[in-house]
Amino acid sequence: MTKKNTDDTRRIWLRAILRQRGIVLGGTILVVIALAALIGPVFSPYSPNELTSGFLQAPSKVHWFGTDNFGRDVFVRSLLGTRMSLAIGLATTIFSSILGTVIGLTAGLFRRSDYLLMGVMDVIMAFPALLLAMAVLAAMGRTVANVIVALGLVYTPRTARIVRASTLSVREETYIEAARALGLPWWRILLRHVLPNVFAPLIVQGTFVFAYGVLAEAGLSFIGVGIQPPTPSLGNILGDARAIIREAPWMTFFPGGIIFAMVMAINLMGDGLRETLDPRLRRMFKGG
Amino acid sequence: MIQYAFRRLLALVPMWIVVSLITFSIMYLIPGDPLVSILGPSASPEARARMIKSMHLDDPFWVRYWKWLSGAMHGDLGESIFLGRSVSQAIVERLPVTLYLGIGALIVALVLGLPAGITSALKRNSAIDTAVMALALAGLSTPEFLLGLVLIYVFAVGLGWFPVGGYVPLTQNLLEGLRRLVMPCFTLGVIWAALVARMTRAAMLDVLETDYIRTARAKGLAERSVIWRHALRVALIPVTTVIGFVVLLIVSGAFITEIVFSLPGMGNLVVNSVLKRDYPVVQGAMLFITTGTLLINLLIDLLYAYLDPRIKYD
Repeated sequence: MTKKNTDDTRRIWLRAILRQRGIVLGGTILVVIALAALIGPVFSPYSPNELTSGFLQAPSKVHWFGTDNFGRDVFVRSLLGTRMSLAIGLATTIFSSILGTVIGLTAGLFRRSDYLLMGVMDVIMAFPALLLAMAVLAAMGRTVANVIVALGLVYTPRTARIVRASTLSVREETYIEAARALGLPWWRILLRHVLPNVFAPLIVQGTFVFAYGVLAEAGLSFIGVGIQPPTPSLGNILGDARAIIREAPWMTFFPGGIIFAMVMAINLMGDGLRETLDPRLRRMFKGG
Repeated sequence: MIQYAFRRLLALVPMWIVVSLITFSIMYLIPGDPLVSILGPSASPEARARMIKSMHLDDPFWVRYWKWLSGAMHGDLGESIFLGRSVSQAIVERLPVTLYLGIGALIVALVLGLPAGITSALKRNSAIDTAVMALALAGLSTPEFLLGLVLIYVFAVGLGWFPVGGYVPLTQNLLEGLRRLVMPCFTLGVIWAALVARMTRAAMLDVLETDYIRTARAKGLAERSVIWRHALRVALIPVTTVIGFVVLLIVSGAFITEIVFSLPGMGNLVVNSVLKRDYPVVQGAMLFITTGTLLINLLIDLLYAYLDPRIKYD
């Protein structure tokens, strides 16, 4: 493929992505939330564990999201919780994408390893996701790193299956046969010809793992198995809010609203990407 | 078909053994002395010796695993450390609560999701379609605990229609028991109705574009007959697999929903056992739940194969 052709294809793809309102809207919401989570706490006069003068204060100009039962500022805790959720969601996605790609490519290319690897993946998928994550955390300890490992392990099989399926279809293509006939080493075929073709489904799956990761982390922290207080997480803020929902509904609505907006934005992007990267639509763009 | 079902059941056996091995060994990943986490650092040597004997901790790993597995196959999952009863007894006590919750949630998911998906597909690209799909996306983006807390705030704290939480056995007081299950079932069901709606819409759209539907219309069949007698029957086949998936998700979601509404079900049992490090209960409940989900998956696969004759049994 010449450089001009590659540039044209990229431009067509970029235009297709920007034409998807879901991707643009979801991306914008996510960027705004991420920027607020990154920059917001720097400008806040409160630190997340600082006990201010009054507890269970309703939202006001001084405490935008009110204060909790210890008098801590819910706004700064929510932003730091958002930062934690995004970091864990992203790390889970990277972890499961890398592991899932390695397993899926190996199973798809080397038939002898297929049965064993996919058998292991099936076994992991037999466990309800949250149950397995809870058991891993119970065994390994409830730290941030272990939450990432637990969720990454839980979501790896789905990614591995998708990569394997794409690899199986790519390996039968004539250009792979030609590359083999030319005597190219297997790793070069893998990196130059197979990997770029499994990239599109991997990206789409990645957005869904990101959304699941954020939701699962919040769920685990809500029930007390994930991120441990006093480290703020949107899930553990809501877990604290449950007992005092009558007195302090703001502790539920603000952090809850952030989780909802964040996951909705990621799902909007995922749906948009799926539509854009769908092979049928891709054929349509190339033909145009 | 019977041969196919038998083969699938046989294939489950090695998988179940690996699942049981993972379930049993996962608790041995715990760094440090498990007795310290169970009895505390200041436990007397006598108490430690008693615990070692009762948990067979002095046996080799494979012996312990075999004892546990053979016990499990006879319904004996060991003794809980903190509950003062056997794990099997604890599971039997908690299971009905989770079953009621799961069945109720599945009914809500189907009653809301199926008509929404069908309507959306029939009115493709209309305002109704857009609204249903936007609501479905919102449903999939809402965590169970958030929806549960919002429902508690509106319907329990605000309007006082339902109690905040708790459980009354249906055998003790049917009406009060059902009243307490409404919000938890709705919380779990409404979220997964979103998934059912999306899948039903996609399946229905696929079917509506097929040749036989075009033929049915061309030969002058009434639109109602085309949709209800020809399209829907085929479109619902892939939805059965989604229902299997939803059952799995409901099992996961039940952990959180039971905590939100203080329901004494399996989820509550597992979460409390994880927090207290009651390992026999965690292991036993994990094996029980995973066995259940494997069997549900098998049933759904068999149902799918039965409903769609195109599926090759070989």
